[in-house]
Amino acid sequence: MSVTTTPPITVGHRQQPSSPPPGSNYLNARRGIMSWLITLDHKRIALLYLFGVLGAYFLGGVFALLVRLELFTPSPVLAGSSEKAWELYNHMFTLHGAVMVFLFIIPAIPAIIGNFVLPLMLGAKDLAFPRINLASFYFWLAGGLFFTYVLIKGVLNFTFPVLETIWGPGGLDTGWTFYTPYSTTLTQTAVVEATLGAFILGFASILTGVNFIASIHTLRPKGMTWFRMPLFLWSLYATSIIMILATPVLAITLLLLAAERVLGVGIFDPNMGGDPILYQHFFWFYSHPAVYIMVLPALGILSELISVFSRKHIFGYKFIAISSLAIAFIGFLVWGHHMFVSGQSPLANAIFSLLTFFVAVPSAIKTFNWLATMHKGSISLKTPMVYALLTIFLFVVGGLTGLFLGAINTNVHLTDTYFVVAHFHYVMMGTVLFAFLGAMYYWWPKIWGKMYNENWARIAAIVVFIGFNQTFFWQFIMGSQGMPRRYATYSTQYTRHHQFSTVGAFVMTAGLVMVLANMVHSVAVGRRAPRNPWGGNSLEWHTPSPPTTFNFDRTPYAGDPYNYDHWRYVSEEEGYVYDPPDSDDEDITRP
Amino acid sequence: MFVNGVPLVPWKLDNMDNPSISNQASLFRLLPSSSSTFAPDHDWLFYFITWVSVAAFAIVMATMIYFVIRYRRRHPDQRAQSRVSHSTGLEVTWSIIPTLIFVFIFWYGFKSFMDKANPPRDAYTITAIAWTWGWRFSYEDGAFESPELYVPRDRPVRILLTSQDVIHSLFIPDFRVKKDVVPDRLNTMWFTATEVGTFPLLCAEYCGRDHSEMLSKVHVLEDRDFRQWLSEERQAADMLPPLELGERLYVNLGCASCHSIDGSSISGGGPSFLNIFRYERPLRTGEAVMADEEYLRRSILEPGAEVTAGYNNIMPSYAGQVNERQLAALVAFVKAQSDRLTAEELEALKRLPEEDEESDEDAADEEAGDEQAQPAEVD
Ligand code: HEC
Ligand SMILES: [Cu+2]
Ligand SMILES: [Cu+2]
Repeated sequence: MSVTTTPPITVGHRQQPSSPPPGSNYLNARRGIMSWLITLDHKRIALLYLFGVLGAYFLGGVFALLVRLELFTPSPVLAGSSEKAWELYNHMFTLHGAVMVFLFIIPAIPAIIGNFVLPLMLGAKDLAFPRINLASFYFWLAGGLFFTYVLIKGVLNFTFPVLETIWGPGGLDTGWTFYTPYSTTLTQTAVVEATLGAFILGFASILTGVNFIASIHTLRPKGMTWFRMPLFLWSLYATSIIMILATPVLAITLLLLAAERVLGVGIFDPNMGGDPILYQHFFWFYSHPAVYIMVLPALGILSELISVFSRKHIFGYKFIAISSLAIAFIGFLVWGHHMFVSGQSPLANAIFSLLTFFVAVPSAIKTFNWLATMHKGSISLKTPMVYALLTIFLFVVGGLTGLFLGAINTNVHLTDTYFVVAHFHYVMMGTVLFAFLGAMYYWWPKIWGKMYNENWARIAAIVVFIGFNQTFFWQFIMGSQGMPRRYATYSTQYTRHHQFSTVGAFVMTAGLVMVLANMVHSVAVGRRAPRNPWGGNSLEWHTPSPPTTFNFDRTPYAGDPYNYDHWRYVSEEEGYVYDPPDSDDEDITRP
Repeated sequence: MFVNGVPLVPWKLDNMDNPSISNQASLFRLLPSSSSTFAPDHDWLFYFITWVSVAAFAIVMATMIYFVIRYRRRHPDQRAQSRVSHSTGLEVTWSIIPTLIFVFIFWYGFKSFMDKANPPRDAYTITAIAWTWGWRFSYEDGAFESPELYVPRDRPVRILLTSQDVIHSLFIPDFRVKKDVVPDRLNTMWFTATEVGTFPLLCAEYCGRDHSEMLSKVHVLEDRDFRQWLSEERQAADMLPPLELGERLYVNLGCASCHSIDGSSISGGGPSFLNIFRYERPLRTGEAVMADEEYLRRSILEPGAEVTAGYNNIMPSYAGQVNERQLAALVAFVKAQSDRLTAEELEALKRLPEEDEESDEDAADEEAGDEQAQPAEVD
């Protein structure tokens, strides 16, 4: 066992009284709508993303509720005849899945939290390429708006047929997976337009990835070696690698799909000499790693939160950092586990199954390291930590149920059932959403310079958590009993499961409304936030809340981000104040 | 399909209730009945992982909760009691233990999958044909087809999977088997059923509007009963008069999921069969055709050639899927829905063609004779 002895960290001057004078932080530095729309400030771009992504989340959420409503009984709920109801259902689950995946989960943590925090953690003024950052937002916005427009058209045409005469047909009913040949032959929906939207969205991902990698390589301050980077940066780094390597594959695949549909080039359609299974290989070559695009940043956040709120150095720093990279690389080699029953050769099945279990090992390592971090710590149950602990719960459930799906034998029975639906909601929706909310609460004071109501925040967290489990737990049981996914109707044997699940979705919604209300309340009338309300030591806590446009007034020197020795709680501040042991701090800042 | 909440084809919905799971006991029951030779291995691994997961989950949660209570921060400036941030021994231990468990799970899942990857040589072969949205099962080299799957107990059955259009997936929960049905690719699945009974059979790969009603049943019969069923079906298939056969095919081949017979138009489907025959049909090209017998045949074999105005060209071709007798029967069924068919013509469709009757019976006799010889062949 070794004890950390690393030099303390400082930004070269002592803690100023909280809150900078008006007019001097990034929020109020400049005014007017244009100062937001063409801003190059990573923090403002993060907020643009925040509102955009939350809009997408709202839309995806409404459709989740509608899907759950349709499933409340086996007979049609939202339309009179079953043909109409089922078609509508197919549009709705596609919209829910596609919007949640492409517009919410993928960008949520990297584009919002990453954008805001990454340069601050690096002690930098901005990302390496501020203009590319803004461009990536507009790619996201353009792709996102177009994509949503195409998808929502289908649903609205159903509800109000007159609309179709105005803006023409649209919609998408292929599921977010666009499987061929359904997507290239049978469906009458706007597949080509939808793929175009997803194609544009891909650019946003790639540009963000490139920007993060460049920033991490070039902008690290003095003292921040690779192994002194906060773990959140490691996870963003690993995520960015996946983004730039995997997204082009998706883009090309979608282009091929469109080429087949429009130009009649036979690539996937067997009637034209193509191979539909080839499409699945291409698609999952992107979409499995995409799962890690979603989940790695969430795990990075957990490492930050658990260490700060245990006030103890993160345990096994190197193992966690390397495990992120390991997940990113092995994650590229497991896509075939989505295709065990497609007729893939037994040898391929065996290899993909084995690699799938290997990719599970780093996740287990991370979990144990978090627990070890808490051991003999000083654990504070502030809202971000509550979220962090709940996220561990969901991540462990999601990870363990992955074992059932990784083993070929059990996969055959469980794949394409509700068991899979439950599993990926625990991993993607549970882990990512809870980590995202934890991150929002953690950096909230830094973003807005305002505190929120702790008790309400914690109660809301519990309500969302209960609602979440109520919604998804039953789906494991339905799945192992044999209920296939993407079913608009079902045997009465599952009615109670579905009804519990639907009720859970509304409980969860109630919790999320509480979260939102608390946040709005905080921005409006919240108490002023101190520079460092939690006692964290990564560089963003060394600058005022909210930071100025250029983040730091001097290039800081970075020490060990997980050494909390020199932060002292000051009750007048209601926060932690940096207190270097040596009164002559100039010596420490300029070694 | 439902119309105003009432199932239109009732057998489809009955099907969905899994008789092996009683509605009362179903809330917490994890798996359906285990009724094939695949089930025991699968279930062993399933419960093994379940218990490993429950244990791992309990350990992680208990540790977490214990730490939270034990090391709670009591005043804001309380420091951690320990500065340990690294231990190679621990890291290696908690990397190796899960790895070993994972490798075991992998190995067991792989081994039990490989043991049964290939069907035994003497397996009884059935061809499953999937289309949007239904199944049919072809027996004895296409001698007859059935909308539901009948299999003998305790005898390996191999199913050749073909799709007429998009990807489907044949899933029998009680047997723990599932395999995608991919167009233009001959996947196979096999199993040996161990329990007599009726089990649900579902489509597990999303395939469009009626994916969730793409259901059928598996009937497991004692070998004797199975053989009897085979010979009866074979005779019946040869003995039905055209209209009755056509009506069966209308349901079994899935025409019913796109074409109504009451004049209503099915959303996402095709025109109703009501009053097509001997009517002018408007085409997408702007022309119109008189729907005679030839036109109906063409519509079934080459649906893309003359697409009816107002509809999309989504109907699959049935060329090569139906034999001459079946095609004639389908045409007869469509004809019978027209008010321009005379009463005599309709009567004729309800009878077996006079001159064929004898030879048909002969054929049936012959085939019944074949059946007697069958057991020696297939056993
Ligand atoms: C996937 C849905 C679908 C299925 C299944 C289907 N059809 Fe069709 N059918 C259509 C559509 C759409 C049209 C109209 C476009 C066209 O003419 O191709 C059509 C047209 C027809 C026509 C011509 C009707 C007219 O308007 O003149 C006939 C006859 C017909 N189908 C018979 C059948 C028969 C018999 C079956 C079953 C063996 C069947 N169809 C199965 C969708 C389907
Ligand atoms: Cu995967
Ligand atoms: Cu299906």
